[in-house]
Amino acid sequence: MSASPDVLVIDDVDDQRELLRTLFTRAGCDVRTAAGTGAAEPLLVEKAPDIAVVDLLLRGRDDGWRAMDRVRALAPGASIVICSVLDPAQFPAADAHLPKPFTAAQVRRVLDQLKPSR
Amino acid sequence: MTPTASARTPGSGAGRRSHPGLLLLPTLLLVVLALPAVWLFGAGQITDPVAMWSSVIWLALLEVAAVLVPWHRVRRDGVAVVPNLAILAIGLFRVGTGGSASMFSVIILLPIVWVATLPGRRMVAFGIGALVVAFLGPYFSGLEAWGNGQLVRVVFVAVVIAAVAIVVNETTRSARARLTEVAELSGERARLLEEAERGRTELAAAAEGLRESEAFAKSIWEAMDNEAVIVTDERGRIVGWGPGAELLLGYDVADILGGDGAHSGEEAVGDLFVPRTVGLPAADDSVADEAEILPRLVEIGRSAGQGEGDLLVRSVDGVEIPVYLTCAERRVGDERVGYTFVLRDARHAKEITRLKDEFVGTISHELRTPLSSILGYLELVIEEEETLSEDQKRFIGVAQRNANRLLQLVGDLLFIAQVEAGKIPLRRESVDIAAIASAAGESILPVAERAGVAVAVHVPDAPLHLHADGRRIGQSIDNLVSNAVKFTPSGGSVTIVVGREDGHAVVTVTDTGMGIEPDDLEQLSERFFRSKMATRQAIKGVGLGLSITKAIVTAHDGTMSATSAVGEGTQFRIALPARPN
Repeated sequence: MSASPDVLVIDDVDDQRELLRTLFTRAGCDVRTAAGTGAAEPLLVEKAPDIAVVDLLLRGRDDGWRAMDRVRALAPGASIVICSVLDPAQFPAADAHLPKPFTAAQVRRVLDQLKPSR
Repeated sequence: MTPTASARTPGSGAGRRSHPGLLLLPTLLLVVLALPAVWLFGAGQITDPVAMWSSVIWLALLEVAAVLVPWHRVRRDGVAVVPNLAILAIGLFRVGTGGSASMFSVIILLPIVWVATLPGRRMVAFGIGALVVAFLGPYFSGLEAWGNGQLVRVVFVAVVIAAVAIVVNETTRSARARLTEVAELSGERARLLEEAERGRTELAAAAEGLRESEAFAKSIWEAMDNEAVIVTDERGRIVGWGPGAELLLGYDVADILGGDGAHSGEEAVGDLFVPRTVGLPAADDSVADEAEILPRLVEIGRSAGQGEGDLLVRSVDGVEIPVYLTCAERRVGDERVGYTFVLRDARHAKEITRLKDEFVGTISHELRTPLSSILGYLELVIEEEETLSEDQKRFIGVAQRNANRLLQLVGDLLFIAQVEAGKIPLRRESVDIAAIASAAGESILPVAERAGVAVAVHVPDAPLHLHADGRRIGQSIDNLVSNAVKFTPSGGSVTIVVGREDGHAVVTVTDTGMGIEPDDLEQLSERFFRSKMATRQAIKGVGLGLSITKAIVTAHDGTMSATSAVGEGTQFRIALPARPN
C-alpha cells in the first residue's frame, strides 16, 4: 500500500464533493470522486480504493446504503467512512464516521484512525 | 235546584214549564163545551144564569190575563193564583148549573191537579182551600140549603178531590226531588268534564313545550357528529350513543343500545378503550376491568390535556384511534346519575404534528448541507492564514460563528422534531451529574462576569451517578443556567444546587432575575415561546431552549418544573431518576 492512500468520495452535492476532495488531497491522499453509486461503479472496477467516503442521502433513488453494498462487493478491502448530515446515531456500521459539517482536523483524524488497518 | 243546574238540565227548566195560559185553556174549553151540552142535550139545568155567565166571563178574563202577564218577571209561586182563581170560577159555574147537583163539578179537577203539581205543599193547601170555598161556599152564602141532602155527597167528592190533589202533589214532589238529584249529578258530571277538558288542554300545552325542548336537544345531539358523545350511567354502562360515536367508532346505535334501546346500559364505556393507553396494564391488553377503568377515564377526561391524544379507542374494525377525551358528570338534582364522555378524533392533529415534524426534519437536513459547505470552505480560507489581513481573519471569524449558531439552531429544531416523533436519540452511559452541573457553572462564568451576575454552584462531595446521555443532560443544564444569567440584571446571582431526593437526582437553578408572569409560566416550555419579559427587554433567543430542556428531561423519565415571582426571581428544578450502580 502506497504512502498516499487512494480515496473514492461518493457525494451528490458538488460543493461537498469538492470540499472532501480538497481536504483529503491536502491530507496527502489520491482522490477520485463520484456523484452517485452508478458513477462510482466504473471507478471501483477500474481500481479498488483504500478508503471510500460515502454520503448517506444521495439524489434520486440512490442512497449511501446502496453505495456501501457496491463498494463492499467491488472493493472488499476498502475502508468505509460515512459522511452525512444525519445524526451519527442513525449511521450504519462502518469503519469511521465523518459527520457533516466536518473540519480538516476531523479528516486527518479519520485518516490516522484508519492507518493501522491499511 | 240551582239556577245553573236548571239551565243545563233538560226537562226541568223554567223555560220548559208550560205557559199558564195554555194550562188554563182546557178548563175554559170544558166550560164552554158545557154550555151547548146544557142547551142542546138538556144536561143538567141552568139554575142561576148570572152566576154561570159570570163564571164563564171570569174564566175568559183569567185566560186573557194568563196570556198577557209577563210570567218570567213574576215570582215563581205567583202562577198559583191562576188555577186557584179558576177553581173559584168553576165553583161559581157549578152554582149556576145546578149547585151541588151540577154534573160539571168534575171540571174542577183540572185546576186542582194543576195547583197540586206546583212545587211546595203550600200550593196543595191553597188549592184545597179554594176547593172548600168553591164546594161549600154556596152553603155558607145561603145559595144552597144545608139540609138539601146533598151535603154528604159534596163533602165526599171534595175530600176525594183533595186526596187526589195531595197524592198528585206528593208524587210530583218526589219526582221533582229525583229530578233535582239527577240535575245535580248531571251538573257534577258537567263540571268534571269541564275540568278534564281543561286538564287535557294544559297537558297538550305541556306536551307541546316538551316536544319543542326535545326537538331542541335532539337537534344539538344530532349536530354533534364531529365529536363522539357517549352517555353512561353511574357504573359506566352506555345509555346514550351519539351520531359522532357512530361515525368515529363504527358501531350503530342499535349495536350498542339494541333496537329501541332494549340493551341500554349493557355495554361498558371502558371496553372501547385500549387499556394500556389508559394507564392500566391488562393481562390480554384487550379489555380492562371496568371498575378500574372508569375512574381513570373520568380523571383523564377532566384533566387539561384530555389525554394528549395518546388515548386509544378501538373501532368496530379493530382500528386503534387516538382521541382527546372530556368527561362531565350527569346530575339529577344533587345526585350523580352518570357521565357524559366526549371523544374527539386526534388522528388529524397527530397527522399534522407528524407532517410538521417530518417537515422540520427534512428542512433541517437540507439546511445542514449548505451550512456544512459554508463552514468547510470558510475553514479552507482561514487555513491560508499568511495571505489574510487581520481584518479579513476577523470577518471570517464572524461568518464562522454565525454559521455555527445557525447549525446549532438547526440541530435544536431537529432534536425537537425527533422528541415529538418519540424517537429521541439518547446515548446513555454512567455520568456524574454533579460534575456536569459544575461544568455548566464554569462554562457560563465568562458570560456571567460580563453581565455582572454572580454564579454559585453547590454540589455534594461524592459523585452522583446517573445512567443518562451526559451530553444531553449537560445541554439541558447549560440551557437553564444560560437562561438564568440572561434574565438576571447586573448585581444579581444565579445558584446551581445538586442534591438527591427520593431516588432522584435534583438540580435546581435559581436566579434573582426579573421573574416570569404566571400566564407565561404555563407556556414556558412550548416551542418558540418567548415570555413577555424577554420580548420587552429585547433579550436574544428564539424560544427553543426550555422546550429542548424539557424534552431531554422527559426522555430520561424525569420531570421539570418552574416557580417564579415577578421581580424576585425564578427557580427551575429538574429531577432525574438516579439508578444505583
